[in-house]
Amino acid sequence: MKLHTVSLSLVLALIAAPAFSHGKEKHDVAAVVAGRDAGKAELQIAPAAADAVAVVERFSAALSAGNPDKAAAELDPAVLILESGGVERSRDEYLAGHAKADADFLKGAQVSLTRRTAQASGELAWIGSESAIHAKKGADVVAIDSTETMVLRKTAQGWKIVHIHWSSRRAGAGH
Amino acid sequence: MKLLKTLLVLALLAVAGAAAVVTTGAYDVAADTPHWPSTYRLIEFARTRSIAVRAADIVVPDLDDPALLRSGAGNYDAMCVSCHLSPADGEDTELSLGLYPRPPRWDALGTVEPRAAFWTLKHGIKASGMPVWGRSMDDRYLWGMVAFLRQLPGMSAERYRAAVAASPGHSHGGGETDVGGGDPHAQHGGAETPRSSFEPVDDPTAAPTPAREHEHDEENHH
Repeated sequence: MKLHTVSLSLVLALIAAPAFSHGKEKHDVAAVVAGRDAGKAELQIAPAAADAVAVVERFSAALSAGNPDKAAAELDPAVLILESGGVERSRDEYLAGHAKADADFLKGAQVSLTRRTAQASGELAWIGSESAIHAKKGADVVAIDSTETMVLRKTAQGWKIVHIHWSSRRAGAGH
Repeated sequence: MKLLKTLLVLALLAVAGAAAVVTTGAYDVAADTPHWPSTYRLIEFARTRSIAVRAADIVVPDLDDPALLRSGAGNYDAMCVSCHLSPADGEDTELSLGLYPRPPRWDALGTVEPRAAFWTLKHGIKASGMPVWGRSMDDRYLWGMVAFLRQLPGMSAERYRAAVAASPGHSHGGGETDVGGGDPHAQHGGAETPRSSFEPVDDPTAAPTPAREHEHDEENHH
């Protein structure tokens, strides 16, 4: 009986711990290692979309390196960027708007790609990515589930990003 | 005429006396030297009347709205407990011990009239340690705290912890930023630093509450 009680307590404690830590950002700040990791990602990438995926990776890597200008080289001048109800309608508008904040945020963030699907058809490719982001915010760690849709068009200069849609929520905020 | 002269002399003496007290430093501003009881009661009365008059026309939303209660729990835990304590931790803190006048405890806060509680949260109270939360938070999040305050009397530590854990309030990244205008691109820390595209825009109460504070534009600084 005592063994059952102890076992039950342990199980409840294991269940309760993540429940109380969700979103409250009780992760260890020291455990956040800035950088990008796709090692455990579930990938479904059509061969025809491989080059487009490489462009998206270069864009994301440049932002994570804190270099928005380098990232912008992968954007079509007329790129349309949607994010949480906001919109930026060109590369220049993005550079003058959220690009610096995005680079600053990602530079100190640990981004783990969890799932990616990529398809291409003719001159167009679309890439859907899901990531878990951990970022330091003061003494806390912000845990974020981030999703990203990118549409690319093949141009004379190679694949260029013509559309981005970002959406984020606190990790564990439900479905 | 003689009476007028006497009154004038008395008034001048009073002004001179007040000036002497101020300029000689005779008045002790130390927070550990309490007011005379009569002074304290007068200030309390003035405070109560000041808030009651200014809060009289505020329209109170549905304070049983679950969304308001949810947002209020997290915000209370993030912003209020260090002074007003909580059912989960009733031990005095350095702030709750050190402030004068002593901040009311969590169980007393629940008895404050909602309009007065909202006004106090929004505008703060001079020389009391009570901050002006209305400068950084939208009304609906302040109403969330008012709604939660009403639940505090008699609340168990377990219920309090569960309410905070289930809340998308301040500690969880909601309420204190990007509020009011409904613009997710609203500025965070000044005009030069927009929020990054990867930080979620939390809105614990989703739809704005229908009733908002009806106040005149207050530029009447005192």
